[in-house]
Amino acid sequence: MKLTRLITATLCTGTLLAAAAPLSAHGIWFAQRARQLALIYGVGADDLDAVKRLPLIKAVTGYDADWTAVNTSLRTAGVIPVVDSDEPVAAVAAIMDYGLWSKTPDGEWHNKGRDEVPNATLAEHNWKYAVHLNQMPTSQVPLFDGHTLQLVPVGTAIPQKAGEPIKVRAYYQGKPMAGVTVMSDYVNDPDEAAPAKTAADGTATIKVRNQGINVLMAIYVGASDNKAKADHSEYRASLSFVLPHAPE
Amino acid sequence: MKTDLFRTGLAAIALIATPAALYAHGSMKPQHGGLVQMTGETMFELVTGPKGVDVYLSEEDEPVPAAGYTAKLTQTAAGKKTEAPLKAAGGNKLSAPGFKAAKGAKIVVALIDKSGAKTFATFQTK
Repeated sequence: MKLTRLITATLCTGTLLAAAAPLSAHGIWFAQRARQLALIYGVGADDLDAVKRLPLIKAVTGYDADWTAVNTSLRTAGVIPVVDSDEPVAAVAAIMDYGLWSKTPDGEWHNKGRDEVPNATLAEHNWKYAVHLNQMPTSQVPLFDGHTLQLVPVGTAIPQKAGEPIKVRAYYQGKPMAGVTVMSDYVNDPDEAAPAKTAADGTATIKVRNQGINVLMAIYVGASDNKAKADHSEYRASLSFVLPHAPE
Repeated sequence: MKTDLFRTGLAAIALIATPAALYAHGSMKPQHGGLVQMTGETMFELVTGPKGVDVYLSEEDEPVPAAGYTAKLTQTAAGKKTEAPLKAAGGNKLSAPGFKAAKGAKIVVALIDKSGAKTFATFQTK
């Protein structure tokens, strides 16, 4: 009885915390769902409604192993958007403009800029990006058009065992950026206590956390792209890849 | 006590689940002398010959009826792409009669089920 109450209380608390997570805490990434590659919108285990947010997706691009563009789009498959391409993709990327958000003194968020919410205590423009490596790269992952913030592996040596280190570099506006937060496991450890920060050359070395899907998330708060509407712009850029399990 | 029971239950589930996972995807041996490729849980066998190209589908050693799919193959050889539809040809067989597979070519089979879900298998011919 006590165990049941404890589980119920824990679940309720978790749900309340999830509901209270700030808007900017959410990101986008790609993950396999029912054999298809799906676009996920959420944070931690929260896999929220990505279909209703599809109008906010500004670009979806796919690439073959030589980084040549492959005709790629998102297709709504019931409750999830999945990647549709003419050929197999070695990598897929997406850009989401989550728009302007202003917070009023009562703690409420409004999907408007500061110009429309004059008493806002905070106003920001949220951008979210995703890059998924569907197979291990054979050459350096390039920077993709429109990805103001992008996290790339340095070189092609992505470790194949969980626990091994991986060196990544964060680029902001096409240049290596220092001070970018790099979370190592956005799905399973969304409240990571001490995430890495990129050094002066834009790099950070982190441990690969999972012998399965790894979703790294770079976070950077940059200058406002429209000072009349937002105090700053917040960018979240995921880099995801899968380490294979042992042969069956 | 309840915690112990919970742990025992979890351990039992783990033991039951493990053997199932080990043998989940069946044999990778070609059944028709072709090239095999596993994508997800579907095994594709590509058979090339003078009369065309055939593809056989199976999952966990069981044939998968080809009639439930639309499919095409795309060959890239010497920088040139050629495409052909693959049509259900009875049982788990899809066929592109008359399609000439080149040596050293990349052949991609695109399989679309009735829900629209697409699966690819990529082969390198010898």
